[in-house]
Amino acid sequence: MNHIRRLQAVALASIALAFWQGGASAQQVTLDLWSELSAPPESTVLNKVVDMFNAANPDIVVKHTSFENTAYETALRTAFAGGTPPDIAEVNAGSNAFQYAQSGQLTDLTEFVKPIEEKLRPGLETMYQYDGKSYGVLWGLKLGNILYYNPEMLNAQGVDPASLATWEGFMAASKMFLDAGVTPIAFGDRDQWTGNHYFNHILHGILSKEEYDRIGLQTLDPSVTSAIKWSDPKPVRAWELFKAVADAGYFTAGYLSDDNDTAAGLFFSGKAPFYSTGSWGVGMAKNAGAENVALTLFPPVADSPEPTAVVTNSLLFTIPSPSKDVEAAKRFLEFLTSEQVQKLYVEENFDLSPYAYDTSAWTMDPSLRQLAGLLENAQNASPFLDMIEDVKCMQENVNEANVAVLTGDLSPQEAGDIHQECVEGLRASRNW
Amino acid sequence: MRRSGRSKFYIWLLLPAFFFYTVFWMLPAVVAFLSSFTQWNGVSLASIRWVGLANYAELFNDRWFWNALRNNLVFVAVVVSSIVILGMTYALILNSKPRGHSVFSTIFFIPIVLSSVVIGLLFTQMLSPTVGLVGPALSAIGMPEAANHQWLGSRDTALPMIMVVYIWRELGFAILLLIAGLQTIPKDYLEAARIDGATPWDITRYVTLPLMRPILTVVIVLATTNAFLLFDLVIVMTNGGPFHASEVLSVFMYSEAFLKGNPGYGTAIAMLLFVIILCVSGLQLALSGRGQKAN
Amino acid sequence: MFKSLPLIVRIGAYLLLSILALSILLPFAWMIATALKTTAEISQSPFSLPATPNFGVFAEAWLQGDFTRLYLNSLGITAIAVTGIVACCSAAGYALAHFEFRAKEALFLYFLAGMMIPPQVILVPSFKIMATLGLVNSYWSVILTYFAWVPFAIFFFRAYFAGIPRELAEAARVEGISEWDIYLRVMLPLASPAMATVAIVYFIWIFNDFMWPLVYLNDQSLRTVTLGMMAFQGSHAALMNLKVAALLVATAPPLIIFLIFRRQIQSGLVEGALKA
Repeated sequence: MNHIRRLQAVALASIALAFWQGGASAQQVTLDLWSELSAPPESTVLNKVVDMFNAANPDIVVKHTSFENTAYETALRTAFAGGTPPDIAEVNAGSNAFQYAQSGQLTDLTEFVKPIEEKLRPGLETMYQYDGKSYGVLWGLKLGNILYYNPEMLNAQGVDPASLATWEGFMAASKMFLDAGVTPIAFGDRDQWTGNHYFNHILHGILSKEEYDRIGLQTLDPSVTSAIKWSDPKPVRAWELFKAVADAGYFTAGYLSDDNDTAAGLFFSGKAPFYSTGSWGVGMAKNAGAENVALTLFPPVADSPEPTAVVTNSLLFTIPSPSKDVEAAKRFLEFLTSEQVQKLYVEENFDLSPYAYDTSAWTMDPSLRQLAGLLENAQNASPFLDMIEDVKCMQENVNEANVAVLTGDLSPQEAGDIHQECVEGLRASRNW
Repeated sequence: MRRSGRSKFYIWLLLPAFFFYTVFWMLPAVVAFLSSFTQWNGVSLASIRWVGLANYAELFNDRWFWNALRNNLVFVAVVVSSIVILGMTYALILNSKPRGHSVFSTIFFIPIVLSSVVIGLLFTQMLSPTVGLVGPALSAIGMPEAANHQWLGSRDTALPMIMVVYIWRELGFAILLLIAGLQTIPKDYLEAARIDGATPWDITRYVTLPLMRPILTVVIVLATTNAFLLFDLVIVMTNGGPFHASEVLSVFMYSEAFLKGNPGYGTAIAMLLFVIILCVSGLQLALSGRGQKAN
Repeated sequence: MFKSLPLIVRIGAYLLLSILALSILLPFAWMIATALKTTAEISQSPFSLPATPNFGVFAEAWLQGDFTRLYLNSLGITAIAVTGIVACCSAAGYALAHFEFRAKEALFLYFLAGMMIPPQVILVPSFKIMATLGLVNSYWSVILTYFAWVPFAIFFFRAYFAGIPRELAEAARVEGISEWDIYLRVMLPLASPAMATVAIVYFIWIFNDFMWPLVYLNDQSLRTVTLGMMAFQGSHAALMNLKVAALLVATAPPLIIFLIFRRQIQSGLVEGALKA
């Protein structure tokens, strides 16, 4: 009896094995991957990674289609709305991802992401967690709150770069330049996002991560509430500090009409000693052939609760819920987070990794190393505000409002009041 | 037999244009029209809700809608009257064939060929107080105060500057059409008037202008329609700023539909814009028709 | 005629002509000067002429922006689209001007209505239609969209054909010539100035169009001149001379061709626009 049972079991197992193997070799699955990484070096790196993955996994073929950045959102939305999304989709981490998750179009990856999360730098999970669930894995990382300065000009003016550690020190240095007849800060707010980032970084320095994340996420995630209101003294203070820069005359003359490229050009050509943009500024400086460029963290206010925290941006790889083969897609996502792939990304893309691998053996440019140092040294990380706030309130009350505060159309308090009004109206309209 | 062959022939002539126009222009427009009665997040079809006239009702309470409408009306009024008056002036001058007229009309042609994007980028650069040409020019002629003025970054000058650039771009085409119109006026009319002792001014006032009425109507209707739909120059030069100061309806629509994630509301704006243009150009055509009869 | 005017009027006229001409030429002079300068020179003195003009900048912009590819794409798309528009709309304009049928006026108004719809509003629905047809990211997506830009051309052709006496076609019919031959051999040759005018106007519009290629042509190898030029502006942030050189590289060739044919275009318009 026992003997027969065992024979049966072996027979069954071998049939199952044969079946499984046969199935695997016959059923090679093709996964469509969509991304907005259409320009080198980003596109080159992703294509390389896809080739590496396909070579290592003969049973899976990942097919990458890239879209031009501005058209990608439309293409992806159309695909989702038509019920024919790709099997793996790159989406902008934060509000876009939340929107898709909210309407049930992304696969819940909470369990799958847990082991990956262990190597993730602290704070970054805010970018893909919605209502307590996780919806994807992060790919690269950009830092937002960076201040670039011209060391030669600082030296000539007798300004110690160490004084840029706080907002107050930054303002004092700006005053010294202005008194000497040099308009210190290259800035152009024509496209509004630059002013958004300035306000974002000032606010980020004033609030703790908890407060900062919540004040944004309350418009995206029903489970999040914020103890701080936009009309409270802390956010209003951020507006006041932002406005004070313009009132003091520290921004270059075209601050409302120039675009960001023009402002960058002024800084790179040595006309202004300061300029703030994200970690991508390092690449811009290289392209422009600018040599006198050094960087530091965007100065937080002296009483900042988390003065070393960083503002970050990342791309998220998700699995849309009607995906052909979720398990195969997961294997690709896991591969993206591997050390091998992240090293390739950092080295060839001139960018940072969201994962805490030991980078000492990686080939990195000195300024990229310095950025990595800022990241390693950071107590915490948060996404850009425009990634964690509803697009309507963000557009009206940060993008448009930051110009209005500079022109005087809105006082800092008014800017805070209408922002709070928008947030409350939004939550009420969704019955949260 | 041949009659029926003829009566069907026009269908073959009309079919291709009708097909492409209907499928790739009017069909999307109808879909857009329907979506102006809905509210959705632009992501999933499941989220579409039929809201009836709510989007239109909301428009009337939106101060930025009224702001954009006012900007648009001011823009159209200034720009169309300038184009017509300046265009007529230049057409009359060129048509009287002064020395060098063909060189001048060649130069006046140039802006017609340039894309709005290029024109917008060019003037944005030139008007910038930091990298531009206008600031240093003003300080060179002894107006250093004005040198730092942000032409596109201040409430008072942003829209007027876009008007100037728009007129600069459109004037050449108007001159071209008007010269064409002037050349169709029979020479003997003018000759007769001159023999009767009419001054050049009288000839212009009593002979040329009335005969130019049809082409003037074409120029005015085209200029009005195009001016109402103004979009790319604003997007390239100011993005509607500072703080809505140069926002016109199509830019307002774009920002609501694409930047603030409310396509239904955006479409409602576009539909109102359509109705406005339809009314204004209908009125212009009616007025010119009546004027023609009166003459 | 000009000479008979009073001196003060003549001086005024020349003043007006010169102001407009300068306002057009100055920006170009500035662009050329800026392109030829170094970035340092640009930020120091916007007025000055380049110390040592760097003519290589145009070649650099051309190569870096891959303008050969861009021009081939743009010219291909524009040529097909313009041919289609002229063929479809001359036929439709002829039908609307020379044939009597029910709903003729309504159909004409239907064709004109499109002129008043802001194109941004049909962006998303159009994209969905193209996506359904599987044409996104192909030349056909934009070409088919341009085929739909019929209002102005139909308006123009209808007016032009209305100026051609109907007796001409009637006489041909009496002689037993088929409708197709009347259209192709009698009417179209007569309408060639109008066809030239429509072709040129649409060539300019389509060549300069930015929005539809931006939405439909994602693949870098499909990009048009305007699209590539904008991408170039974005990716060369601080290199003002190169950016301006790219502006010139993107505008100068069509401009030169256009100016060479200016007389033909103008006479086309004279004969065309005002026939009615």
